[in-house]
Amino acid sequence: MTRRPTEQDLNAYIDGELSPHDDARVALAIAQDPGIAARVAALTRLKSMLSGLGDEIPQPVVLPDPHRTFRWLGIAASLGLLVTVGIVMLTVFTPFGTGDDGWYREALAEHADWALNPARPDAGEVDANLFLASVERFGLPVQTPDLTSAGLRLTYLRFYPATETATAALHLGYTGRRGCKVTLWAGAAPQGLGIALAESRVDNLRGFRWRSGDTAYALFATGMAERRFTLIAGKVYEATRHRRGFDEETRIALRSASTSVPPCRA
Amino acid sequence: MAVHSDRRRIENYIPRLYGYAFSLCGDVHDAHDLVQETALKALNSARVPDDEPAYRAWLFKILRNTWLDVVRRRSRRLAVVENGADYESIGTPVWAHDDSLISSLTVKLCLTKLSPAHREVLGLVDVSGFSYGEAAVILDVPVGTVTSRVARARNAMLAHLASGNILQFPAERQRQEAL
Repeated sequence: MTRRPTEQDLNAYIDGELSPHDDARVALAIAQDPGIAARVAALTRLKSMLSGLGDEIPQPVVLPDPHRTFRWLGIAASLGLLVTVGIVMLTVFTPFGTGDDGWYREALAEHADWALNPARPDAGEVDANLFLASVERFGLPVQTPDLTSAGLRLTYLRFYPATETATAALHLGYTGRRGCKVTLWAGAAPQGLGIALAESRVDNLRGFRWRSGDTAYALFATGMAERRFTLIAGKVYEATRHRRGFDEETRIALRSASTSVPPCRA
Repeated sequence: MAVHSDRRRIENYIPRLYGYAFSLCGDVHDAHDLVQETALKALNSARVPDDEPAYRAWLFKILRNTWLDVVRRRSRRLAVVENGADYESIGTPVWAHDDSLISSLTVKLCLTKLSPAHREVLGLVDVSGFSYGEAAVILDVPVGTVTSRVARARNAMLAHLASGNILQFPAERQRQEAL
């Protein structure tokens, strides 16, 4: 070992770009230095997450002269998934629960304030650090479903620390291409909140709430077709229950729904 | 028949093209449109490389040029010149938290905060899986430049992820003030 590996060496190492000699030199440094090993692990994890970006196309790219087979397969898959989701929704929907729903009213108020107030910040204000801070300090779920698969764009992200009367919460705001707004709210679950997906309508604003583990979730939409919102709610609910992101099947269904239902009215 | 063959070739690269496009635009809809336009240009091209690596580089170059056209049309300048700052040494860690917190969502958000040159090189190497040499051909820069940009870009992403920020809870604060 003649010299300590540089940042470029470590990056080239995880990219497989080093000569056999340099590769062995970096591997030895990793084995001997926990700090370098941690750095390489972080770089590798980052590379791995970036490599998956291409798998999240929000809607199919249509080339000229499309294969009819693929189109019909897509429609069939979408219909099948819609039926499945419908069955799931029928089995898991419950009447709106009683218990402490102050957090839900707060979430509803924040959604309305964001969705109906054109002065609220857009994409430029979105900050990943807020998400990380919420995860680190209050143990909120890392695997919050990402609704960009549903043809929505993350345009708002806000973290609310706990106060004497309210628990910590995370507000993810998504905007559709024609302006519809969707809020996914996550925070510490209050006592009495059920695990079933519960629907409510307050002042003509439809919403859902449920609990997964120690986390309470709420979902609201403004200007979105009810059928599409129902599908999204079902998918988000399932994803949070299993503590995972959306799988490919779900992404296909969400993409299809974004193109097969009436556009946003917002 | 040739059209179907060309379509199949392009379809194989759609996810990687999309990933690269997203890394350039930072917007899912713009990325989709960019891939769509790239595919149409490729299908209408009279000269298509036979060799697969050359075809792949050609396809991504079309996408890159299409994006540069979009940027020019929007009268924005793509800053491809790196600043001259040195790399941070390994002895000065900028990566301070558990790497399990690097979720897909946070990575996407941080990507949009990088400079265009950094987004682009990560889009080619990490998202699209190009080697440094292939990325250098597409970007028309020396391999050494790609090597340094990759290191800087990842360093910048990890720095974004490592910093923190907390906001207030305005609705709750207003309620408390009203009491």
